[in-house]
Amino acid sequence: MREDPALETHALTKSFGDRMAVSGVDLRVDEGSVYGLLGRNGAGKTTLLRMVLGLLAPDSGSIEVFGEHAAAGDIAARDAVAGFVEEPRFYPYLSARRNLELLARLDGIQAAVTPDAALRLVDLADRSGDKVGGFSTGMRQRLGLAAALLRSPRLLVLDEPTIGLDPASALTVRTTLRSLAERGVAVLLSSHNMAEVAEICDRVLIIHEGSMVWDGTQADLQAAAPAPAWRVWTSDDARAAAVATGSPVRLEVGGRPAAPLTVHGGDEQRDAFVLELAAAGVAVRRLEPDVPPLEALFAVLTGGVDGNVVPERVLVGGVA
Amino acid sequence: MSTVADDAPPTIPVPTVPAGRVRPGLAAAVRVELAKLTAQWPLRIVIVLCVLVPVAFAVVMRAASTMPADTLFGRWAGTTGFATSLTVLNWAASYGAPLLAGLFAGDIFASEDRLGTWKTILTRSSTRTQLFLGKAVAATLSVWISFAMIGVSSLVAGLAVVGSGPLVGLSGQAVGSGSAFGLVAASWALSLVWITPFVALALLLSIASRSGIIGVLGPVLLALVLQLLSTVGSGQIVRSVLPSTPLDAWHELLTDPLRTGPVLQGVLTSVGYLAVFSCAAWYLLRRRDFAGIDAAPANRRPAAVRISVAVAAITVVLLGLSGVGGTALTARRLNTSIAATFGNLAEVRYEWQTGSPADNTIPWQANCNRGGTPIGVGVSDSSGAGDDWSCTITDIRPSDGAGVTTLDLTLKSNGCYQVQSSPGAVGALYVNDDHGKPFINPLYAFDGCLGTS
Repeated sequence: MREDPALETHALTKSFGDRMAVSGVDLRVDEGSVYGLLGRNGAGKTTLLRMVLGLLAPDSGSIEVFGEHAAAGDIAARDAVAGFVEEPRFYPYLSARRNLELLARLDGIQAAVTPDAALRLVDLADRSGDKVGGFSTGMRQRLGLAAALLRSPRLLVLDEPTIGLDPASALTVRTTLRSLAERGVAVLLSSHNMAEVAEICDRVLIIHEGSMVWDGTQADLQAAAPAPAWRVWTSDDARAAAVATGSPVRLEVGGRPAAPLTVHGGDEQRDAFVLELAAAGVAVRRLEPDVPPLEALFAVLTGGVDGNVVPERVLVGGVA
Repeated sequence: MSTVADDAPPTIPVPTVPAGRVRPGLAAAVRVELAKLTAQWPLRIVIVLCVLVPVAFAVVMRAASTMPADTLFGRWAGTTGFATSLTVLNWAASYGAPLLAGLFAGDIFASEDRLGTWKTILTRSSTRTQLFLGKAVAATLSVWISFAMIGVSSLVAGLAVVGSGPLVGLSGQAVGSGSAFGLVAASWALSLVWITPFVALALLLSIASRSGIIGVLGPVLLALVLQLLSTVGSGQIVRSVLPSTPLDAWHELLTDPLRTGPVLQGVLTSVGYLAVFSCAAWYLLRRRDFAGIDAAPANRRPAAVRISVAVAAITVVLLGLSGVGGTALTARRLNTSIAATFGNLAEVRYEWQTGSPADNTIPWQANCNRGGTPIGVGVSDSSGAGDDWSCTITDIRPSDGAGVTTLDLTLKSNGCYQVQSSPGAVGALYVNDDHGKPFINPLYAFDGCLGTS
């Protein structure tokens, strides 16, 4: 018999006034996996997570947590759930440890992880006595993760858990999440960081204008992604274009002076093209990847392209 | 279930089975809220002030030559510690209680909005009902304890600094120290009932407005409006529905004979408002979505404006109705009350002066009227609050035929009165006992209450 998923939503819908925030979302999150929820700002990610955490009642549709219907505010059905949305917030006039102690009291007396242990897990043990009012955004993010771990959750719901973290702390968080998944925890996280999603997520969910437009594994996503592209600066663009005419790669010539050429094709095709350029006496001065395939697919799925051209803001800054 | 001990190296916890979680009770939510309240230094200062201010007042009363005679029991505040405490009770109940309710309860929900911590506590294992009740109980306990600290501090400081002499009650009766202690304590305890609806109102404002300023100041402003309504209106209809009516219930405890009706009415009125405010607060919190600030409808009128408009409208209506309905402040009832009070005070004065029991069979008769109209010359029965009352007191024993004493009297809308006697008839403010020791002449000026129902 198939086990109940950690989380399952059916036709989940929520609107605010005339604005449809989430529209008919069907979602399934299984234990032992990390799910990455992607979407542009205002796509409905946080609203969806708020409904999953019980902070918001859906207009229609249903949420099941480990096979049990979970209405908004139904705490008992969410005993195995922990997480946070937006920036985690705490009482600034209390220390980090005191904040966790009070939250542990609200969880019941059988907390599996002590506040001090949770603080050590997120590398905040040396600041446990400091008032949270003096914490940076990144420290509050880590404290939010510690607060979630206090509940020893089977389903962890996190809204951009690494935002504001320094690279080392972000790595710690990613490692922790992967370890949790290996121990059977289902992790649903939203993120703007495509590389992070590619690194730690087993499945990728993309939401656009309230609707789920992609639900698949990393492999599915890679397969559906457009062919990779590279930007190439050569010593002679005209001759390079001529070489490309007889090559399996597709070449786009930049419209501006000194703009690079864009080469579309797989790794082997790219290598062959570079060798052909060398044979033709054209020097390759610089070669770098263009839009990563996942970002390119994301842009396509979320309406971020005009024809086949990916906007510069997507190229340079990742997802806006 | 695995447990990560404090001294163990950090390891990733193993998820638990949901059924293994022990559901927290209401006590956990109450303890959490009390911990949060007592961790905030402004509220710690308030608690300290609740102790220190009454002590300072007692010290001032001990040294001052002028007493706050406009306040009930104020004229005795420098004579006996029981009166010192009751003088403080007047102010604490009228203004202190709404302020305490606002400070402890008015921000307890709104602060979660301001700090953005609703999402933090609503994703734990305590239900929304438990969180609501936890905050409500913690706020109520905090206000009660703070108010009780004022009472204890004022009584202890009063007895220690001013003294433990007998108390003169609101019917002019002498109350021994033992009885006075119990009555003062009961008066403070009864006032806790009047405070509680204000705590509920502060909770309601805190939830409805999501603003700590409105939650804190709202009860204080309402108390001022109620004072205004109580001052201008003596009509039975409005008085019976005002939440300030129970404020005066403790007066009955210091009146002889004790009337339980007004006390019961005060308790019922308080319970009624408590139920209305609490249910409304719970309803608003129960139906609220925690969608984040971005999801708030843009055209939503600010809660502060809506609440202000509603309060102003209700106030105007009540002001318009303030004089409607009969009044219990009639000359007939005043005659009875003044005669009894004056007679009791005459006995007290005799006993203080001679040290011997007074004759308690002397029949006193009072005739009161308003506006300087000659009394007893076929004038109609006066009524209502005002400072233009005057009374004549007569000892109607045929054998003695004592002279007539004239009193100037201010009758307040809450049914209490202040009396100034003619010095020529009752003597000076200070008179000497048979041993030459001066004492305050209780007949020179005195207070009493006849109630409003």
